[in-house]
Amino acid sequence: MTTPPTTPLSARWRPTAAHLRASVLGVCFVAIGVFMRRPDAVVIGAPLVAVAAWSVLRRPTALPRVHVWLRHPVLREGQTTAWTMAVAPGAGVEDVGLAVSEAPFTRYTPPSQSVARGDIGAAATPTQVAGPDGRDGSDGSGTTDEPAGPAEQAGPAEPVGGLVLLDVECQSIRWGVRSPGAATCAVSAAFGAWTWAPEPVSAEPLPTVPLPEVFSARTATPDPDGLVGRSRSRRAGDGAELADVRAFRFGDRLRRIHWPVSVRTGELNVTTTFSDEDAEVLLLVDAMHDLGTSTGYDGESSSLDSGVRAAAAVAEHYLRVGDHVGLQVLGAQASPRIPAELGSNQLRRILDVLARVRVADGGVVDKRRLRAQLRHPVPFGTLVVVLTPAVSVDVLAHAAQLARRGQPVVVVDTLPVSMTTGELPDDLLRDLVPDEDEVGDSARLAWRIRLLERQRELQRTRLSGVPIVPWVGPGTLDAVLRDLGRQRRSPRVMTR
Amino acid sequence: MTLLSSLSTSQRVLRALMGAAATAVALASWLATPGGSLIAALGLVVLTAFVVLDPGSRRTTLLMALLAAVWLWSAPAPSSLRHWALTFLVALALLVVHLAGALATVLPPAAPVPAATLRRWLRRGVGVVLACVPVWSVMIVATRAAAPGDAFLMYAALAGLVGVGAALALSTRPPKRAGTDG
Repeated sequence: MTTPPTTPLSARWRPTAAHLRASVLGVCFVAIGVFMRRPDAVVIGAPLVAVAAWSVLRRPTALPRVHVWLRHPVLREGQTTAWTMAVAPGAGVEDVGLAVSEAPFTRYTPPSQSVARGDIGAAATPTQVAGPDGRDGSDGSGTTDEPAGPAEQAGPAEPVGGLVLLDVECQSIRWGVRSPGAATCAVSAAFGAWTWAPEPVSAEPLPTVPLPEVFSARTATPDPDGLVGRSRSRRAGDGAELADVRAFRFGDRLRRIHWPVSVRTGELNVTTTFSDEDAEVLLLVDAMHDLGTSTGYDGESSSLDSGVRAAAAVAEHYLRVGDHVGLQVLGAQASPRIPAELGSNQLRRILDVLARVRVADGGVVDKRRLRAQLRHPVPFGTLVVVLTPAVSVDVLAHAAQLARRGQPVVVVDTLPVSMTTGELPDDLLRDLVPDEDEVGDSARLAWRIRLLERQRELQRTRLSGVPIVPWVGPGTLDAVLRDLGRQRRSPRVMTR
Repeated sequence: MTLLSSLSTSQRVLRALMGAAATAVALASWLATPGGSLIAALGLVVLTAFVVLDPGSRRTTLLMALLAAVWLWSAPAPSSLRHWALTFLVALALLVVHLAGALATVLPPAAPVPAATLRRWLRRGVGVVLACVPVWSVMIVATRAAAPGDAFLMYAALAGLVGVGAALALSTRPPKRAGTDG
């Protein structure tokens, strides 16, 4: 076992209200009985005196050694970590408990968010726990017993060499930087008369990277322009896909000779292929708005949920086939632009940035930031995938501008289907208006007008040559990429 | 104050037991004593409701003190077997209020109370009652035998109480182990 990754908690034994109650009331009742000659008062007070005396005699004499920590520093959506409490109880310790406070988008096992164990005195034997510094916990002569490893089952675990483990599992159900609830632990002695309760332990913010949705694209990117990769370029070269059969020229490789055609025509002919090159993909995620309800990875998705998960899926797909992928989150604070790179480290970087996306609050600063982000140059030939709920006009205008310059651009519409109707239910409408009192027919009418405007803007964007597709997972980009590929091979007019 | 809906079943049972015991004492002090007061009993029942919601507060101490005070105020010093029986029941009920309140605050309210803890507390509660039986017996004998103004047997009972406490201490002290820090 490895050392617990935290320092032991510190606190001291304190008498509880119950102990003070038993002591004070017991003595008072007995005193009243003696001085006022009321034997019934002595009868009532005697059990309380006995409880108080028992508690004093069984007072714990040593401090318990308690470690509390969160088992994982980073999660994926749907993954589970655990608050773990490891207790090396001293003499007199009888009950231990661990409770975790509520946190949004986190599911707990057990659902009560707390566990307790009551047979500590019987099950555990006095032991020593090594701290992170490797020194022994008590007298320096004991063995080292520490908990480690993933939580397999929440709740009280069997004592390991005198060490008692308690787990409360926390499942993060939505991407983002989650703040797992603080863990409160308590250790108590006989009759609950003494308690050892340190301050609640808070964990560092826990990044939860998005769970990429299932995505695949069978159509190659329209304009691969790299050195190596698996995308078919428009140039002839070494590759797998047949381009032409032509007459043999000096310098052609002999293994390229196409013998059937050569025999038929009487002169040597060779096959040529398109070279395989890598493409560059830039993902633009619109974080100016987050529309719809988000209930986690296995429930309803908001527009930003769909955008983030779709971006993760597209990035994962193209990075796996050897393309360069970059990312820009539009409108989000503290979200750096990731230049196009390839490899698994790039996927990790992209997922990390996506996990930290925070929706813009729509202020002037955010709009200014959005315009600055849109001014970033996009290398020619880069496939730009814009993931947007298409509510922000600036983003659609940027997509149209890129298309006019000759860039291959695809807009993926991430607005949830539930939001595309003019008759929004109140709970969805409540997220759109600044004040809850404004939820009503006028707000519904305003949203209907906004949808009409959105439809018109989408139509204009389509007319400027930008394909717009809804996110449907695998094959979302196939049809539009095929069309874009055809367009690229035909003559066209573009603005520089 | 804890929401009842967030409590585990065992915690709810504990609090129900606490409320039932306190209510029983309040009603007994009204119905079974010559000087019982309905208003006092109702006040105690209302206070019990608050205590059940938050057994870790000082209101629990106040409730127990008031329950005992109202009982002592409304009931005369026990002379018959019926009165003694009622007094013992009140003492047991107050012990139940105290132990249930203490156990309810020892562990997180949402966590089920472990069965081992329940068994241990029950065992010890019975042990406390058995330890008090000699004291109670002395009280009965003293009440019947003592002339007015003679408190000898009362002091003897107190000495017995101390003796019982010392006996408990000796019997419950864990055996010393070599090499332990406790």
